[in-house]
This record gives sequence, structure tokens and C-alpha cells, in this order.
Amino acid sequence: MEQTSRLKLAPALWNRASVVGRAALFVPTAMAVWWFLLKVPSLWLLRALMWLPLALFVAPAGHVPLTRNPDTGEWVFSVQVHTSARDPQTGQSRFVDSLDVTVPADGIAEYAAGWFCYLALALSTAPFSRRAAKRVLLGLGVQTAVNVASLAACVWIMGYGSVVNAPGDPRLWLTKYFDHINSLVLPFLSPFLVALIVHPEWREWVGISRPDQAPRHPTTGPRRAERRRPTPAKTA
Amino acid sequence: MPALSRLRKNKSAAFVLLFALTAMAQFAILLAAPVRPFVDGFSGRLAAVSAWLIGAFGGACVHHAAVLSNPANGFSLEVRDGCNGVNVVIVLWAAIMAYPAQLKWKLTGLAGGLAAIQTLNLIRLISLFYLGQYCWPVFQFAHLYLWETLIIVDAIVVFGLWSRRVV
Repeated sequence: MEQTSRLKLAPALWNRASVVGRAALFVPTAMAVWWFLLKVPSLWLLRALMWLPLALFVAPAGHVPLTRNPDTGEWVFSVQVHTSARDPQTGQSRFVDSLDVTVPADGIAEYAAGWFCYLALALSTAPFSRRAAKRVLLGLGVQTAVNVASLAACVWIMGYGSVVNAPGDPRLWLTKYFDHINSLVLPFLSPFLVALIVHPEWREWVGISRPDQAPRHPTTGPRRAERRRPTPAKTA
Repeated sequence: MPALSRLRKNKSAAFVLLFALTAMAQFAILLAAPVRPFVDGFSGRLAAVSAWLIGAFGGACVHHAAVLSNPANGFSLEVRDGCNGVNVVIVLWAAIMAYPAQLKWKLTGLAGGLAAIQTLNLIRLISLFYLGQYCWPVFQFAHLYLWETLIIVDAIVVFGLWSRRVV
């Protein structure tokens, strides 16, 4: 008897909470599970996924795009910058083809966090079902593409930024600008953007669900405009 | 011009485009050299308010510019870009500016959004000040990930509630 009432209570609680209410509970939980239990495996997966994009777009031909220093755990990226810059010591212009960029694993972790934050946002929309699973898989695919592209861009910006890092170089501001968006904004915002793109429940909650109509929300009564205006008669 | 006409018809695409452009323009302003002293000053004010609040509740905290410190044990915390909540404010402001609404509602949303995010950000700074002193492993997690995502959830709540009012 008690068990039956408990089983009834779970869907009732689920229905009473809004998408964002469930997200406020699921997101911190998922992030904690990731940070304290799954950070190392997620970084391993990210490293495996990064290999090909780095080899194709970031590393110079014939170089190993990414290695891991076994002593320090740091990731060492080979980056083709192919640009000239002023040497701050000699003051002369010098051409740089490629260089190595070393980043501690904790500096990379933000690009793996997006998977778990997105999963929490996706699970906030609906209880698990086959139809929901397809959407979640699509979202995970998009999130993976964002994570990989974002980390590749971060590595390239770090390499390029270290070459043009001379005072007065106009390219310096641009690298700072894109680095700011790519490392301080995108890794944290992207799961929410992916959830908005993939899940109509999230679009409906924020009020951007109907593209060609005025945004609408689930309401219990008639909308304000409908209350004021009588329904026009149908014309042929 | 057919592309522009199609864009006008598809309000969702127009919203996304306008949102992205507005956000990028605001980030450009944020990083412009003449604006930096104001941003640093804002971070300093946040630190000052946090120190005042901690003191008002009996805690030991002093601030110098954007650095909060506990004179008893020497722990200090600097409020920098990413910790001052400005990035999330910019994203929320971009969404509000891109959304079709009357000017008075937009201005209300901008002011209310700033207040909501910075209020939560003050709670974040104060919690981090204590976590950093007494629980370092949790501090790292809360500083880098937990609060960052919670503040974005806050921005989504503000935007969702605001968009309900302006319909």
C-alpha cells in the first residue's frame, strides 16, 4: 500500500515541478557527480575525440597533435600558427610556423563539463523514454561537436596569442576577445544553448517556442490578447 | 534581399541572430581598453559589498580593490572577469534586447536581470570566501563549475519570467 502511494508520488512531483525547477536540482547534482567521480574518464574521452580534429585543423602536417606528459599529467598540443610577429627581445620580425602549447588537465576540464550539464538539462525535460533518448543523443552529439571545436579553438588561440603577444600588436586584442568568449563563456553557456536548440520544452519555458507567432507559454486561462478581443467571424 | 525578407518572417532566426550580434558587441565593449577601469571598479564594488555583508553578519573580512581577505588566517580571494557575473549579465541582456518587446519592458528586464544576477553573485562570492578557507576541494568545484552554471540557470529563470510578462 505504502509502496503504491510512493510510486504515485514520484510522477506527481515530476509534473508539479517545472523544467527549470528540475534543472536547478539536476544540474548541480550532475556537475558534482562529474567533478568528484567522472572527471578523469571524461577527460580521457575528450582526448580521444580531440585527436582527429586537432590533426586536421590545428597541428602542422606530420606532427603528433596531442601528447600527455605522464609525469605532470599536462596536455601538450602541437599548434600551427604560420604567422610573423615581432620578437620582444630583439625587436625584429620573425616567422613562426608552429609551436607546442602545454596546458594542465584542470585547465581543459571545462570542455568536458558540458556533457554532464547538458545531460542534466535534457533529463529535466521529460522522464526517460525511447523518443526522449533520440533527442538526448542528438543533443549529446551537438554538445560533443561544440566541446571539441571549442577546445581546438582554445588551443589555437593560446598558440597564436603567445606569438602575437607583443605590446601594440592589433591582433592581440582580437585574440583576447575570442579567448574571453571561447574560454569564459562558451563552455558554460553551450549546454544551455544546446538544450534550447534540441528540446522544445526548454524553448517553450523561455518563450521562444513559436517562430512565426508571438511567443506563448502554457497558461491555464485564455491569453490577455484573446480575453480582450472577440474572435473574428470566418470569411470565405 | 530575399534572405533579409525571409529573416524578417522567421522571428526565431531573427532572435538568434540579433542575440548573437548583441552579445558579441557587448563583449567587445567589455574588453575595450577605455571600459576596463569601469569593469575593474565594478569588481571592486562587488568585493566591497561582500566584505560589508560578511562583516554585518559577524565575519572577519577586509577588502582592497577587488581582493577579499580574512586578516585572521591570510586567506584572500580576488574577484576577476568571470567571477563578477558580468558575462552572464551580458548574455541575459543580449537575449532581452533581441526579444520583441516594448522599450519600457526591455529597460525593466535589463535592470531586473542585473539585480537578480548580481544578488546571486554576492551570495556566490560570500560562499566562496568561506569554502576557500574551510573546504578547498569543494571550493574548486563550486568556484569553477557549480556557481557558474547556477548563475546561468538564474539568468534563464529571469528571462523566462520576464518573457511571460511581456507577451
